[in-house]
This record gives sequence, structure tokens and C-alpha cells, in this order.
Amino acid sequence: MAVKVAKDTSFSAAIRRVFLRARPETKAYLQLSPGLILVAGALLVPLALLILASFWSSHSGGEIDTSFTLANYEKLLERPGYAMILLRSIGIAASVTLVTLVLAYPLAYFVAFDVRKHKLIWLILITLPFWTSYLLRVFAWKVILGWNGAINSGLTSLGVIDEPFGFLLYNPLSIVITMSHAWATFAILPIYLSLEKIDRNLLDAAADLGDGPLKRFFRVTLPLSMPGVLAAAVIIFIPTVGDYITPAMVGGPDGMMVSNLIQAQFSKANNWPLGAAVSVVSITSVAMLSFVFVASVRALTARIR
Amino acid sequence: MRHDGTIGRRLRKAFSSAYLFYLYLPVLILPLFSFNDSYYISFPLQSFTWRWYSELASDPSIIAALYNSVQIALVTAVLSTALGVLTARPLSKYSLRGTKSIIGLIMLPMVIPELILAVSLLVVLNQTSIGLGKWAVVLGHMLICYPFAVAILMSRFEGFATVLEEASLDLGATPFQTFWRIVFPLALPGIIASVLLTFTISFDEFLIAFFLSSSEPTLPVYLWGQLRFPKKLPSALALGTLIIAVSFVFVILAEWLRRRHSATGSTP
Amino acid sequence: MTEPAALVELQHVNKKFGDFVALDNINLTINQGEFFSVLGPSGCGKSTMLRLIAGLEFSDSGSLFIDGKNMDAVPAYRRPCNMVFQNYAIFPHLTVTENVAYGLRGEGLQKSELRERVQEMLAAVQLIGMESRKPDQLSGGQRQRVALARALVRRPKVLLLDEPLGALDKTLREDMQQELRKLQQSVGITFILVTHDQEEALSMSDRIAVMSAGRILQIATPRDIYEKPNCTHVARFIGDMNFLSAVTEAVHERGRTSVAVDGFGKIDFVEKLTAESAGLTHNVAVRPEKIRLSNEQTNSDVCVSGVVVSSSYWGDQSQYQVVIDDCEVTLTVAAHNSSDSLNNPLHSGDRVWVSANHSAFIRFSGDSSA
Repeated sequence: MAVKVAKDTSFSAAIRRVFLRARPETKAYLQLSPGLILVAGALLVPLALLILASFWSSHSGGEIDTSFTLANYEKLLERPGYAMILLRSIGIAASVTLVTLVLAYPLAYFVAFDVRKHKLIWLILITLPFWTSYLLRVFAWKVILGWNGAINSGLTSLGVIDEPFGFLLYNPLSIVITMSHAWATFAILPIYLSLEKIDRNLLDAAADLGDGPLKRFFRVTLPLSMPGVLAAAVIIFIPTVGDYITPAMVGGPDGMMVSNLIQAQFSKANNWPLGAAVSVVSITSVAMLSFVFVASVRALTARIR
Repeated sequence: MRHDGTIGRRLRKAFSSAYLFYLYLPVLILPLFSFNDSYYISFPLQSFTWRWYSELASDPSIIAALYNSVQIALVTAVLSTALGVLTARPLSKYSLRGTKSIIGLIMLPMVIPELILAVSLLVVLNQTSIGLGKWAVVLGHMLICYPFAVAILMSRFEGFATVLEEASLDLGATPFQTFWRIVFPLALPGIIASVLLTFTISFDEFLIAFFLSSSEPTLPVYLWGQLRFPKKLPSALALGTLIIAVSFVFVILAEWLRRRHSATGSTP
Repeated sequence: MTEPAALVELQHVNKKFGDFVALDNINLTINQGEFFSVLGPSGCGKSTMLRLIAGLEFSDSGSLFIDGKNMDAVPAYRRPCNMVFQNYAIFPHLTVTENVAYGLRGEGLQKSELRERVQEMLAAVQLIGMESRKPDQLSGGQRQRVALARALVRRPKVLLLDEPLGALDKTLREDMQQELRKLQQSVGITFILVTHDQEEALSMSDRIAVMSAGRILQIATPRDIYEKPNCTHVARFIGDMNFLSAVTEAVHERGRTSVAVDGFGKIDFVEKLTAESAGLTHNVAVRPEKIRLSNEQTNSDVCVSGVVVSSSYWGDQSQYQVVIDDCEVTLTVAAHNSSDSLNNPLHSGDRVWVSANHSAFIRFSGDSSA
């Protein structure tokens, strides 16, 4: 028998023992912590402070009074203008979501089922425009839709119309056109992923059981791709309600949205407690709406099945 | 397969091609008019010119904005990718309790409107001594770049054999050496892709920079200021074209790197 | 003969993963220069034990000594052992040479010395000419050699092998078994092999530990594991076995016990039992190849008659199911297909004599669970 050396009792060995025996989970959480600190410090704390600030008030000189008040919320309730802008924002965002999904679905379907060889190329082509500056894409739409813009000048110079279309820019329509373009990738990819996951045997089975192509689509393909559609709807709806650049650039006075209101309070009006209150109201109402939407769609699809 | 060559398929193909063209329409319009020798952005096109581009080069404030943008984007890209590596590794390696909510928290900045992110940061930074400027923009940009870095790196680490790390430890390499000799080289394509993509996001981002950059405007913020002046519009188009070109090159490079090899590591 | 020197010792080692008990009070001593195998079904804790020795896992309680030193606070990268991983874990971004040299980087060797040691090792595992290949250009057998070279080049005191041949096809596996055994004898390093393949363990090892559900059931030489399993679990796991229930009839003087075995009648065992054990039921087992079938009665220790109910031809041998007359016992019998038996093959329905010697029977006390 070899002579056994007794356990190393030094302090450093004790530390090593503790570290070596630490559960992998502990080490994992340790590695996760810097990122979580970033999210907490730059997102959660500021959001909390924003909520807090919505209960403050601002004097005419721009001085901030940090005593608790509900005045900002009362103001939002009293003046119908605020509610109208919020409702308009929600209405525009809902239309954008609907239009984007309806346009995106056939393309996602095409890439998932019809494209064989060049799937990757299609996917890269779809994602590429998304990576270009949002500001520039909105700006480009302004250039395209304007009174003297590409469409109007193009059509006039071709002699198709005598007078430029005025309805193309500075209204909710132009916002919907611009946004449904900007968010297309976010609709196509989730729908594509959920279509791609569908077991092709299921479709063959449905066909085998006597379903025609259309029936098969509505009874098998569409329900199975619903999770992707739902995810896309939420991903598009939430940020579009609060989008700033698009309404500011192509919305005009009739296309003013809630974010323009917020921005105004933080700059020109210099009443950022009120701006904070508008932010809180819009975020909570959007979150609640999305929740109700997802829950009801889930309940609906569950009943159909 | 049975739906080959049907009318439905042909219709879908036609629609998809048209839709793709629509997706690229704005990206094509900007360069088109940036070479058009006219202050007015309208058809018919006038003669070809480099004029707007040479105007850009002679504007010192553009150079300053470009310098700010590159600085901010570089720091943001490196920091958020480093954080992303730290986060993605344990998330794909272990099945931790609360993984779903952790990922949810990390991805949260992607669904919150940028304006809200910007103003809430503005409130905090105004109340503290950090103040506004480049570092404030870096902080805001890291918040939106970090989820992308995590997503890109997690897909790279997926199926990354933990056993390779164990083999390295077994062969006498310390955990630190193991990271640099095994994990880092195998994850490198993903890391570069993440740096390129987060650089692009930061370089393109307008709203957060608009609120937080104060007297140090980035390129998009500078561009926004120029849009008010009709005479500056053509050179804004030229600037936009350049920004789009940079984004395209970076993104194509990143995609190519990301998909070239997979990082499975073990026997194929 | 001097007592062999202990190299790896596990004392009262316990390891749990959540509620799952991976190792349950393991006590084990592995000697210098020994080829030791740990054999068991998947999930029995054998890999966990190997990873514990390597330092990739740490026990909840108990201690581990390697070469007399407590490994409690020693991380994997400071232990005198190296491992050949299950799927080899060859670094995919490094060439063959770089893989083999990987573990020598921290040793402070001169460049020429490093190159020499790598070359020497590559020659030993016949990988000369493959130096600059990447892992994806290697066959399964070549990868296995790289993994082996990479571990051995560090001259460890213990080489740990985790199912090293599992990924290879049958013929290659048999070649590698012989090569591994030869290699171990030439380098003289202690090998600890974990496997679920009993033939592998039996043919290569000096000693085998059979594990099940986190416990070691038996540690013995391959011959003893096969011929004298200490419980029904080991007997069942290694090779084929016929289990018969039995009752102790009488305890003779001169240390013999006679037992009434189902179907065979009285069998004598060279074991001393106390008189009280008379009347107890227990298990008796007999290997299929220790039973002989013949057309005529033989003068073996026991000989009973029966009927063949099924037969299957396996090439080198044939397997028969035989029902012994006047009882429900069905036996599996293996017969070598030697030239004379080929002239006279048995078919189902044939009447045969079933004979065996007393020494072919193994008696298990205590557990009559079978």
C-alpha cells in the first residue's frame, strides 16, 4: 500500500475545494451576471425611474417638483386629444400588423414549401434590407411618396396623371405603407420558421385523407403555423405603437402618434413628467392589449381544434 | 412532391418576387437619386454626377460625426459581443432553472419602443453625474445590441461539444487557457459576425443617439438635421447611400462567416 | 510475491445528481501497471467514476487518492491522469500534430524535445504521414489513435478510457482490443477502461469491477467474474445463464452440501453450510455451454432426459432450448459445432440426454430473487 498523504488543510486548498465543488449552475449564474446587470441598470432602473417621474410635476420654467402628484394622469384623462392620439397609434399599429402579416405569409410559405435549392439565398435576401438604417428607409419612403416624389414625378412624366397624388404622404396611409415595409422581415421570419417546422408527412396525410389543397391549408398548415403568426403579430405591434421616426417623417399633422407627443414633452414643451406619464400609459395599454390579443387567439384556436 | 408546377406555386413565386422587389425599393431609390444632377428628387432623371459625394467629403462636420459614429459603434460592438459571449455560453451549455425568463429579460429591449428606452435613459442620465454624450449613447446602444449578440452567439454555441473543454482540462490546460485555445477559436466566426452586426446596428441607430448624444452627434443624427434643408437633400442621399453600402458589406460578411462552418466540434 | 502497489484508491465515495444516485459508497483500489475494467450497463455510474478520477466531477463525500496523494483539491489539469473520451473529443480546429502536442504546451519543453516526443508517439500509434491532417480527414480508427497518442504523450500515471472502442465497427474493434492490450503492456501504465461490452472487458483486463445502479457488485479477474459470479446480477450481466430454483437438502460432513435442483435432482457443492440452512430455497445457475446434449446416456455427474423444443444455428455454435422431462424447466444449451456434431444435428422434437458435472453449477445464497 502506498503511503497516503493526509488532506491538504491549507487555506488555498480550502478555497480550491469550494470552487471545484461549486455546482455548475453557480458558475453559470456568475457568468450571466454582467449581462443581467446591464439590462437591470440600463433598462429596468430607468424604466422604474420613468414610472416614478410620471408622478412628479414640472413648473412653467421647466423646474421639476418631485412631490407626488396624480396631476399628469388627470390631465391625460381630462383632455380627449391625448386619448385620441393613443387610439390612433393603436389603430395604425394594428393596421400595420395586419397588412404586414397578410403580405408576409405567402412569401414565407413560398420560401418554406416551394423553394428547394436556394433557400439560404432567399433568407439572406429577405433579411438584408432589415439591416440597413431604419431612418434611411423611412427617409427613402418620404422621397418615394412625396408631392414631387418618385411615384408622382414618375407617373406625371410618363403622362399617366396630370396632377400629383396628394394622398400619398403626410397621413396615416403613408405611415402604414412605410411601417409595413420596415417590419416585413419580422413577420416573414417567424412565420417561415413555424412553417418550416411542420412535418411534411402531416400534409401528405391530410391529402391522403381526402383534403384538397385549400382545405388542407386551412385545416393543417394555417393552424400549425399560428404560433409563428402570433409571435410576428406581437413583435410588430408592440414597437410600432411607439415608433417615432415614421410618424415624424411621413405622418404629417394627421399622422401624429403617441411617440411624437412624448418627444415633444421631453424637448419643446420641457414637461418631462407629463412625457413620462404618456410613456407609462402607452406602454401599459399596449402590453395589456397584446396580452388580451394573444390569450384570445389561443383560446380561439384551442376551441377550433 | 405533388404541388410542383401548379398555378398556386407560380402565383406564389410571382408574388414573392414582386414583394422582394418592394423590400428593396427604398434601398435602390436612394443611390439612384444620389447620382442625379438636380436638387429635386423627382423623375425624369437628369445627368449623372459625383457632385453630392464630393460635397460630403468637404464638410468637416460630417467627418466629425463619422468619427463619433465609428467610435461609438466600435466600443458598443466589442462590449456587447464580450457580454454576449459571457451570456450565451452558460445559456447553451446548461439547462438552468429560469433560462426562459432570463432570455426573456435579455430580449426585452427588442420589443420596447426605442423612444421609451431613450427617454428613460435620458431621465436617469440627467439625474446622475454620467451626463449625456458618447458614453451615454454607448450605454443605450449596448442595450439594443446585447440581445442580438446573445442570439447570434447562442446559435453558434449550440451543439458546441462541452467535452472538448473537458478534454482540454484533462490535457493540463487551465480553464483560462482552455477558453483561449479551444472555445475562442471555435466560436470565432460567431464572434466576428456578432461584432459586425452589432457595429452595424449601432452605426445605423438614430433615436437613442438623437436623445443622448448631446453635442456629439452621430452620422444619422447629423443626417436628420440636414433633412430640413432642401438644398442639402441630395448630399443627404449620398450620405445615406454610403451608410447603406457599409451596412450591406458588413452584414453580408457576417452572414457568410456565420454560416460557413458550424461549430459542432465533435465527430461529424 | 510482494503485494502490488496501490495507485488509485477510492474510499467511501458518494455522488448524487439531484435525486439520482450515481455512485453509492464506492471502495476500490487499482494497482500500479494494472489493466482494470469497469463493466456495467449504461447509467450504472461507471462513467461518473471515471470522470471523478479525471477530476471532471467531484464527489459529494469520500476521498480519492492517486499515487498516495489526496485529490480532493486538485483540479483536472493538475492530475497525473489523462483520458480517452468516448467520441475521442479531438479538437476540430487543430491538426493531428497540434492535437497530440496540445497537452505538452505547459510542460516547459524545448521545441526540439517537444517535436521528438510527438513524433515518437505518432510512430507508436502508427500515425506517421498523417501529421498535418485535420480531424475531419481521419477515419474512426485514426481518430481513436490520435486520442490515445494525445493522452499518452503526457506520460500519465493512469490512462482513463471511456468506451474507447464503442464508435468503431466490429472487426476494427477486435483489432484495437489486441493493440490496446499490447500497448498497455509495453508502456506499463495503469489503464482504467470503462465499457458496457463484456467481451471487451473479459478479453483485455487483469481485473474487472462489475457495476450496477451506482454500486460495485464484484471485483475479480475475468475468469472468476465468469466462472464464479458472486450474485445473480453479475451472473445475468456476464454471458448467458440458466437459472434454476433449488432447495438445500442436507449438509454433509467433510464440508459438502447437497442441494435439490429443479430438473436435475441432487447436486453436491463443495461449500460448508450450517445445519440450519437445510430447507432453504435459493438460486442455482449453470452456463449453457457447460451442459452437454447426447443421444446416449453419459456417465457425467448428472444425466437427465429431455426434448429439444427449438434450435438456432449461430455459426460457431448452436443454441437449443431443451425441456427436461416431468418438469417445467426449460434450459438453454450451447453446443460447439465441431465436425462430428455437424453430421448429427439436433432438431426440435428430438429426444436427448442432458448431462453436466457438479462443478458446472453455481449456487447463490441469500438472494432468491431470480
